[in-house]
Amino acid sequence: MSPSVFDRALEEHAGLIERVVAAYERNPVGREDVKQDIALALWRAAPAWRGDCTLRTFVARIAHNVCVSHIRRSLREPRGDEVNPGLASDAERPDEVVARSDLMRRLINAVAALPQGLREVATLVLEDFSTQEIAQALGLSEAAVFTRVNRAKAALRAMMVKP
Amino acid sequence: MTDDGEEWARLQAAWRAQPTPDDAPARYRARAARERRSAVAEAALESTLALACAAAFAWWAGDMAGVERAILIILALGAIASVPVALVLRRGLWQAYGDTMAGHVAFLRRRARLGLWFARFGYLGGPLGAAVGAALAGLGDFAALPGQGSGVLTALLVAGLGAGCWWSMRKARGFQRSLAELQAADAHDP
Repeated sequence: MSPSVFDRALEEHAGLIERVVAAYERNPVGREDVKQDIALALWRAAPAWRGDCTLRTFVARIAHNVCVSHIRRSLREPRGDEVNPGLASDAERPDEVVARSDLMRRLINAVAALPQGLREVATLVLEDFSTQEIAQALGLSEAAVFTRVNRAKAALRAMMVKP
Repeated sequence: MTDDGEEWARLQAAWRAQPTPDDAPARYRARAARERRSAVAEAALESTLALACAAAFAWWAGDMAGVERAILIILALGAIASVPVALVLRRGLWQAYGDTMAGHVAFLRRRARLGLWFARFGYLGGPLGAAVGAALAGLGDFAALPGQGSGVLTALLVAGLGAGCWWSMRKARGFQRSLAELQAADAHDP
């Protein structure tokens, strides 16, 4: 057990976890479960982190791994409704929330609709991971990542222009 | 999307603007603490049961001689050895989460195959083991073990065997389903 790695991962990358989960699970209750599972997996895997990749890459890798396990389990179950991020915060005006959340909602739904291989890449690119970091996280060559990134961007572009 | 770079930056900004609840790390930490306690309790229970079995085998071995004694000593040593093996396997399972995603999927596939093998071994090997055990029970010094011929004990053992077979068949179906799901998901990957 390495409490410092676990604590750092949670403090610095809680947002990353939330966003990755949003790309995989549409049901709010299911999202909560997956997030908790990721926390457990992080705690379990923290001793394995040796600094050979960034902590952010490590967290993303674990988050995706748990999500992959989760969607395998839930393939038999009916899919939930579209994602409604429920994003309002006290600091925002309603019109800001509407404008921002509309694009966000469409984007999350578009990412969630991608095939798994492209979804993994898309979420990492949206998180501004470099090609090398994505290759480390996915266990792919940089050339393969490059190809998938282009496909993911094209697929997202096509989905986002739909009304 | 006229300007690819600009539009992509806008999407990245929208993506990363998803809010994170302030209490998220605290909730994650609390769940991990519960899991830690549960994992420690599970490991302690497993180890205690294995060591209790080892003690029982060793105690019986004291009243035996020859081949019967050797069998019971081997069983006792096996029960003792199962403690570190179970701990190492458990740790290996945890650390697989830190592998690459491709590695994790390969791990899931290996785990499902191994689980399927063990589950089949459970419901096929269980009755075979019971038959061998029943045959051994009437031989040599084993016939002198306490509980021989007890109807209640026999009923309990048969019920336990039936429950074990049912459970392992259920697990086998689950592992088969996991393998099918892995294959189906692979077919959809680009």
